[in-house]
Amino acid sequence: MDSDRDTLEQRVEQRTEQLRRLNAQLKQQIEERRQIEIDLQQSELHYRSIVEDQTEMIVRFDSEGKITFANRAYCQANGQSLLQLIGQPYYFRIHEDDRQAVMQLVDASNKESPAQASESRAYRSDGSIAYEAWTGRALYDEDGRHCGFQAVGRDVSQLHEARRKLQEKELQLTHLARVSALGEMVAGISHEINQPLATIANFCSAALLLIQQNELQADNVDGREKLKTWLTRISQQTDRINAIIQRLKRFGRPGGHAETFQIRSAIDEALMVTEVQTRQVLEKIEVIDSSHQCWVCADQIQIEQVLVNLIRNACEAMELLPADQRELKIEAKPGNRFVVITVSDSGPGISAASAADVFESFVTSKSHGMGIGLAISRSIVENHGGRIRAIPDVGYGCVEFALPAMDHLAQLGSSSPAASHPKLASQPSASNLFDRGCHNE
Amino acid sequence: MNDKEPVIYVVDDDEDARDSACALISQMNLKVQEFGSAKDFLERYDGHRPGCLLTDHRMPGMSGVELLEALRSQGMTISVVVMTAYAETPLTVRAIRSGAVTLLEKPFSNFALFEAIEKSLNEDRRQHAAEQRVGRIHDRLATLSESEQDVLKLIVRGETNKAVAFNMRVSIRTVESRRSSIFEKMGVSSVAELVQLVMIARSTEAET
Repeated sequence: MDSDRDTLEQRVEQRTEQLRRLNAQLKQQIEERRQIEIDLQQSELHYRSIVEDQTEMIVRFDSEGKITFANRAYCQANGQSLLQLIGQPYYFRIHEDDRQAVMQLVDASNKESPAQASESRAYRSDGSIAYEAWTGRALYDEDGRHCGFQAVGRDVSQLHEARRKLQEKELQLTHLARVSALGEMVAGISHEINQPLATIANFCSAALLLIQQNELQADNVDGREKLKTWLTRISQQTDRINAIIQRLKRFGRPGGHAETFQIRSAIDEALMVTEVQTRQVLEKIEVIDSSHQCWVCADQIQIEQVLVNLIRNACEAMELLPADQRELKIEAKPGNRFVVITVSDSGPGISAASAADVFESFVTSKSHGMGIGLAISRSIVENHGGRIRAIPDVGYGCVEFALPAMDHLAQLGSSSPAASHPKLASQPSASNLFDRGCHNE
Repeated sequence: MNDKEPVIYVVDDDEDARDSACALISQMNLKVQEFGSAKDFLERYDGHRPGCLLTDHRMPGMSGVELLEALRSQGMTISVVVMTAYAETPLTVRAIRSGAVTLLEKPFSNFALFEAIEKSLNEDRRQHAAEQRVGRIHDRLATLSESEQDVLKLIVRGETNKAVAFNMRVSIRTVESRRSSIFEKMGVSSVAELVQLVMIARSTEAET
C-alpha cells in the first residue's frame, strides 16, 4: 500500500515537473513571438518613416490606374490626404498636353522593360504648373500577374528653369556673336553701301550739270535720253542698297526658331551676307549641291552664321595668296543620316596640333576679332545634334560639319521622349531634340 | 584732236560706279577713258600726258593703292586720285606715301570731284614739266667731255681755278678754257646756276 502511494506520488511529481517545464517553454515562445511582433512593428515603422520622410514623391496605383498608396510628399504636392487620394486615377494631376505620353509610357512597361523615365508637367495644389521627373516600374503579384505600377518622382522645375535660362543665354550669345560678326564686316558693308550711293550721287550731279548747261531743251532728244537712263540707274541703285540692308537686318535678327529648309538656301544666303567681304578677295566661288536633296530642320539663321564664319575664315586664310590662286569651295552632300557640308579654301590649311584648339573660345591667329567665331559655330552645330571639325594636314583649308538629315530627324522624333514632348520639342535652340547623344558616328 | 588735251582715266570694277563717274566727268566737258580693273589699266595705258587717274581702292585682284605702287615702281608719275567707299587711316597713309594726290571718299560731290581732278591735272602738268626739265639737264650733262666733267665736279665743290689746276696737274689757262666750255654747254652764266643744275641732276639720279 505504501509502496503504491509512493509510486503515485512520484508520478504526480514527475507530471507536475513536466507541466511546469512545458509551461516555461510556452511562456518563452510567447515572449519570443511578442518580441518578433515588436520587431516587425518597428521595422514597419522604420520603412514607413523612410517612405514618408522621402522628399521624393512615391505613388502606387492598380492596373486600372487607381491610386492604392501615396507617400506624404505626394500628398503634399497635391494638397490632399492619403484617404482622399486613394481610389482616384493617377493621371488626374498631369497636364493635359503630357497626359497621353505618360499613359503610353505606363502602358508600355512590362517585365522585360519595367523601368521608365520621363519628364512631364503636373498641376500643383495651387494650380501652378510644375515640371516633374518620374521613374516607374510595373508591379506583379506572386503568380506573375500584372497588378499595378509604382512611380517615384520629384519636382525639377528649378532645374528646368535653369536649363531654359541657359538656353536663352546661349541664344543671346549666339545672336551677339552674329551682330559682332556684322561689326567686323563693317568695312565691307560700308563699301557695298557707299558704292551704290556714289553711283547715285554721280548720276544726280551729272543730271544737274546737264540741266544747268541748258541742254534740256524740248528738242534735245539726246539730253532727255541721258536723263532717262541716269534716273533708271539711280532707282536700280536704291534697290541694290535696300537689298543689302534687308539681308543684313535678317542676319542680325535674334533667331531661335527651328524650321525645315534646304541647306542650299542657307549656303546662298551666307554667301550673299559675306559678299561684302568675298567680292574683294575672290573671283571664283564654287558651290556643289547638285541633288538639292539636303533638307535639315534647324535654326536657319544659326546655320547661316556657321557658314558665314567659315567663309570669312576661308577668305582671311587666302589673303596672302595671289588673286588667281584663291579658291573657295562649298559642298553639301546628303548622307544616310547626316547632311555633310564642307567649306574648303586654297589657303595653307591647318596643322593637326591646332585643329583641336581652333574651336576653343578666344583662340585666334587673327589680329582682329574675339576668337569666338568657331567656338560659337561648334556650339551651334552640336546643339543641333551635329558635329564640326577642321581637317588638318591636307595642304589646304578644310572644315566640315554634319547636321542630322531631315529623314533621320523624323525617326528620332518617335524614339525620343523629349521630341514627343510638345513643349520641350519646341525649345529655342532645339537642343532637347538632340541631347540624347544617340547620333554619334 | 589736241594732243595736249588732258584725259581722265577711271578705274573701277563696279560697272555702275564707273559709268556714273564717267557720265559726270563727261558732263564736265572733260575727256574720259574707263577701265574695269587695275590690270586692264596697266596693260592699256599709253603714257599720255597730261592726265590723271581716278582709281577705286577696293577691287578684286589688284587694289587701287597697289596699282599706284605698281605705276610708281615702273617709273610712271601720272597723278593719281584714290577713291574709296571706306576710308581707313592706314589706307590713307599708304596712299599719300605712295604719292596719291588725294583720297576721295565715296560718295563725293561733283565739286569735290572737280577739285580733285583740277588739282591732279595741275600737279601732273607741274610734274611733267619738271621731269622734262630734269631730262634736259641730264642731256646737257651728257655732252660734257670726261675732262670737263672732272673740272665740273671740282668747281661745284667750290674749288678755285688755281686749286683745280693744281689738283688736275694742268695749267690755269686749260682750266679756264674748260670752264667756259662747261658754262656754254650747260647754258649758265654763273657757278651758282651751275651748282643748282648739278644738284637737281644728282637728286633725280638718287631717286631712280
